[in-house]
Amino acid sequence: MILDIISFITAWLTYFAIYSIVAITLNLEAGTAGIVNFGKVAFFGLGAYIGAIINTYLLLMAAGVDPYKCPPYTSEGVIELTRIAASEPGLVIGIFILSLVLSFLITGLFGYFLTYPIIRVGSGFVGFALLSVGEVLRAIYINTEFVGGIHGMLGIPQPFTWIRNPLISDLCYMVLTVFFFILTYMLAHRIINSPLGRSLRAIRDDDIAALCLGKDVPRMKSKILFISSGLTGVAGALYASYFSSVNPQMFVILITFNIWAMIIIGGLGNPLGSVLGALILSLIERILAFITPIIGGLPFSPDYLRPIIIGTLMVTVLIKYPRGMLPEKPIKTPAMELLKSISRRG
Amino acid sequence: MSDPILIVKNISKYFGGIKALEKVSLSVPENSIIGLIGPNGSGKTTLFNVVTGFYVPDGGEVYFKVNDDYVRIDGLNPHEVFKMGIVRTFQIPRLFPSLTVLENMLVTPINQIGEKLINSIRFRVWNKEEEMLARKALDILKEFGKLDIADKRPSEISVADVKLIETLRGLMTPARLYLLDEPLAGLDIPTAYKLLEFVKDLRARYKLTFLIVEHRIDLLLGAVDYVYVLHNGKLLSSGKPEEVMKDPRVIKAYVGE
Repeated sequence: MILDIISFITAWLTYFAIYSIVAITLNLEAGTAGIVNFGKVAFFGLGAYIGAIINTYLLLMAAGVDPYKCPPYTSEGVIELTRIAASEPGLVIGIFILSLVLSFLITGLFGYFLTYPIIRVGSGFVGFALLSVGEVLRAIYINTEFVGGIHGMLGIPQPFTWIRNPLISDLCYMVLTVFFFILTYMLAHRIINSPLGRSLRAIRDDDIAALCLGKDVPRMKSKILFISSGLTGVAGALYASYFSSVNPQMFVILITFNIWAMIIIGGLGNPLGSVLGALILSLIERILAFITPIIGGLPFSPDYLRPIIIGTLMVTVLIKYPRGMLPEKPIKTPAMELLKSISRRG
Repeated sequence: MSDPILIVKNISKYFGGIKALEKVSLSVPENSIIGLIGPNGSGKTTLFNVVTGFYVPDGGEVYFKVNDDYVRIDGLNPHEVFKMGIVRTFQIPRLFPSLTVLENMLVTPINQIGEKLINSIRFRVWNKEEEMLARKALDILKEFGKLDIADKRPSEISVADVKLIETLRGLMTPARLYLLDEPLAGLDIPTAYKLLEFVKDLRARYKLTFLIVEHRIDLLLGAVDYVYVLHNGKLLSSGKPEEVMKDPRVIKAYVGE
């Protein structure tokens, strides 16, 4: 029983940490910089697929197996990967770290260059252009045999599988994801409470006026999309390795809106709010995943429980706290303290 | 009069068949206050938009004086024009609503160290500059007696203060030319006069130049050195304010036959 509880909490915290990274970065884009990113899942999915490709193909090659004879989306490939994951910890962890770095860079650059054509149009169009990017990528995954097509890829090694005890290996992975979550939080917190954060809020409030005050609006938005997409890519790679698999069905538009729900409930512009939103929604998700198979006697399919609960929650929160549970805070820079010290003196 | 700081030469701007501006030329001498008046739709704001980089003109040139040289600025992006040293205010004031007055001042300086992504996460790299800018901003606010609203948001202060702050934040930069788009709109007469006094004060203290678009020619008269009158996209008249007021063409354009 205690082991059950520990493994539930481990699974939830891992899930929560990964979603927090995505929610914090979306909040940085949408809440602080005003980029209506309806394509969050595109970056999340891209990071996951890059992580999956590197942790399978490259790992097989590094271990001396020809990945074209037993590709990772076949059962032979999965067997090979499982064997390598259990027996060669150094190699697996090395490749895993490389996959995180590459996920960050490729997804970040993808975000950066994607902004070039689309960030110059109005914010509504940006939202829909990014939304369609997510679907286009999904169509590419479905039609590419290299990444397993519609069935996706299996056997992506979780980097701590060589620890024989599954509970401990899951705990290690949880600690790793929590580390990245804290890193992302600190980055977002610092960016928001800096002159850059102030200029981003200015751009969000009124991009024409910001342009008139010498702010290179498209460039600043591109930079933010680079860093936040890169971190989303890392979250995606962590997600892929956690579930040991990726498939196109994991990266549907619904994920994007789930993350939007997190930041709206938590509070736009406040990174702590995104964490709270991710905490609440991931808990609901995990509990439902746990009880849906055993629940009975409902007048509707238990699959509908999730949208019902999240929808009700969102409406309730927005009625009670229109700016989210933790609204945006003033920017903390030395300027604020200076003003306080002056007004205290009289 | 001193050298011109801004020269507008034969500027034309068409929107489809509509000639918003047709071969308009004017020059703004350094350290002067120039009025740009005209009835609705005469092209005043279009001219502002051309000068500040929002529109690319269909003909003509705009020159701005930078260190004794004249640099052509038409066709530049708005943020590049700002960096040259031209500040503009809007008909409907555009302070950033979620920032306090102090933060609105602090957003303005160009190329802040902490605005770079890589620097923004390293507090020690930018906190010195930030403190210096904050002192400067607070000094300016204090100078104009507005220290008490420094921590207020734009929605919490009066319209006159919003307009004042919109102009004052330009002082955070080395900008020398201010384009004010209908600064007196929405103000009662005593407040309007106060704002004009403030503009004169700024010119004297900071050696600034102002180009003011305004409907209320009567209020403007005592403050401006020279007036240009636009009508249907063309320059109708120009001269000292009293002369322009007597010009029959101007009277006709404003009140009809």
